[in-house]
Amino acid sequence: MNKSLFAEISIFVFLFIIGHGNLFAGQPLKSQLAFADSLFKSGNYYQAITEYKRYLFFDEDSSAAGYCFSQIAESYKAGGFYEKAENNFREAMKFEKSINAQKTTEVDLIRTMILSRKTNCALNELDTFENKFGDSLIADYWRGWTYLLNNQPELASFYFNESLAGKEISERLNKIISDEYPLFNIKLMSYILPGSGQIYTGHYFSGAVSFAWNALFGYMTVKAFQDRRIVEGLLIGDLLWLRFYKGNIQNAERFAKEKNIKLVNQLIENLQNNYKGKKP
Amino acid sequence: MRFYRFFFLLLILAAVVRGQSKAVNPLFSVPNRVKFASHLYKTGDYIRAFDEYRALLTGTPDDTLRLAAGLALRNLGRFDEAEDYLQGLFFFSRLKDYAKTEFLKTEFIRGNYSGFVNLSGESFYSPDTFSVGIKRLKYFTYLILQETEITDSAEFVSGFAESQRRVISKFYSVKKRPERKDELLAAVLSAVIPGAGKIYTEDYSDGIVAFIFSGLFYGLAAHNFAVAKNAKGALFAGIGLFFHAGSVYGSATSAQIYNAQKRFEFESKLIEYAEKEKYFLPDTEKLFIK
Amino acid sequence: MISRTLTILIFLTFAVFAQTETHRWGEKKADYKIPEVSERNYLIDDSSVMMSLVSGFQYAYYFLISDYDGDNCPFTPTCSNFFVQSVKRTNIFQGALMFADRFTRDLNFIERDKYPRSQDGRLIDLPQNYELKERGIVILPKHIDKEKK
Repeated sequence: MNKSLFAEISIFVFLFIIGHGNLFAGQPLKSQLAFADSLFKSGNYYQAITEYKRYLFFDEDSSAAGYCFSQIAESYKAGGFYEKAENNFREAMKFEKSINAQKTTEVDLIRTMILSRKTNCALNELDTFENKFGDSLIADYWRGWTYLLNNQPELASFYFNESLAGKEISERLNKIISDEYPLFNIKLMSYILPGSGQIYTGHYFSGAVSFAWNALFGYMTVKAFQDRRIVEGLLIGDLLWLRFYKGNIQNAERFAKEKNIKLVNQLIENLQNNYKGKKP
Repeated sequence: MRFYRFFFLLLILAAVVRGQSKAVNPLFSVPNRVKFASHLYKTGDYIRAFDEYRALLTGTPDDTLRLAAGLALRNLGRFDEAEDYLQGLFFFSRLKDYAKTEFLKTEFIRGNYSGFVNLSGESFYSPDTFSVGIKRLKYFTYLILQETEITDSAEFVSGFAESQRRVISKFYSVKKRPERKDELLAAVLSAVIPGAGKIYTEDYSDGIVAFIFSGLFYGLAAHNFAVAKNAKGALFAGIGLFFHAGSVYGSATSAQIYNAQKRFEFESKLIEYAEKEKYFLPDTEKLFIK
Repeated sequence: MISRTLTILIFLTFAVFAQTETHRWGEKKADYKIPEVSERNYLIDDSSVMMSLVSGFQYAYYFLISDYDGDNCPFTPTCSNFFVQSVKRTNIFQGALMFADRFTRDLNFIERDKYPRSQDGRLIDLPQNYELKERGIVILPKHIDKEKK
């Protein structure tokens, strides 16, 4: 190999290597975003937030700001920081340009509200979503989840049924609703005969004690009035009889609610772990 | 041979440059990390700001970064760790005066007021550069500390800047003549008339309820004694007496709660003012927040 | 020291409700389930003879009276719990006086805004504020909103 050819090859290799190095040096942002994504994918959400923030800080064009804020929000959500997640989803929405991206981020925001049990906020946001994007099927699906996690299975079933994606959940909910204790009937029974509501829910001892107290204080009140001991009658009637009469209804209602919540929770737990569709 | 050696070295140089540029993303260079940490601190993300400062400190020992790490921890409420970082700058550091002052400020912020007063009295913790500010914060702490008596108001107020004196003298007046209710008087009043002590402590509705409740049982007792139903009368009298005693006791506690509430409000205002005045000390954050 | 307690309490309140990140954290699995009614713990306090008697009395009260007289007590801790805690913190006589005062305040349905509210809407009224120890009094922020509108 002559000297001039060797020199040419060497200079070419030198420039290639340096040039290739410079190529990388020109893509630090791209590499940073990939790094943040890899942390997110591996479940290191705390560190992922730092790296997305680093990207946002150095990205002068805000070219991926919507995406980064969304990822930060998802990371906070994964850590249980729902308030921060919400703020970042809202921030992401400011940068989203396409209708589809805006729609997705809005749904993500609503899902976070459902998880943090901000029922009223989620329902208001769903109204806004429906007005803005005109997609009632998606809105109803998430209304179903909102009501389900707020222990309103009838409303949840109605909205799941209205949406296409939630039909299956609606059917399962209907079965649970038919198995639930009827709260109105139980309260009515307790109004008519103290203790009967508890007995209906299977709490026989509570029913008997409740009946006994009401019978005793009822008798004492009536007796006091019969004997013209008006102040005493008012005191016993108000401080004791009415108290235990109201308590008997509340007690029966509590037992029924306890059982109903358990039934709904069984479904919720099953959905959380096994349902393949979209979840909050 | 020398000709070949030159090009051989050129290739090695290229490889080294290439290798380095691959290893370190420029976003992680020291100046960029410092800028990013400062941004995080400014936007209130103190935990991540601290992470950055700590990472920087492992490679680049730097007093400013150490100070910044300490202050980030303080903002997170991690006072012990913050003080550890600051103590590391007490000796042989160009920022030792800042570190000592911030250490004192940390004692104040964490509510260790007597500790702050004791330390600020030591010349080691009170560098000349910041002695005026430290003295002002120390005087201010006298307003918070319950045990401290301030005698000379003119001398006390004159220690502060002209613009602060009006507010300070108002605080001074409250400290000298705090709004207090006497526990014993409250108890005695309720002993005489059930609930009267609570009226005195401005718990009006509780006072009225206590009066009606005890009075009702006393009334029932009197009625039963009058119709010679002594056992029933004694029962009602006992219940009335029990709740009357509760009202006497409750009036004393009500006075204490009133005093504690007033003290809480006063302290809250003092702390708010100290924050507004940046604790009468120079702004150290400007050293690392650009 | 009262000021110190207050500062720490205020800081903790903000830390909890503003979801401040004070340390590095890991993933936390969300819980979809609806909170269930907590069941009562009927364990007798055997720290002293007096406490065994008082807690035994408390559970008898729960078992025979409290469950059937409705959700009348707006406070947390409830009046019966307040009584047990008061006796535990002081003695039977002072505890009884604290209970008598609390029971009377319970009847006052006119003015309840002076008490801070817990997340489930109950009025927070701690026994340590009634021990006649001014320095032990805890002043809490007035309102803790369950859901920001």
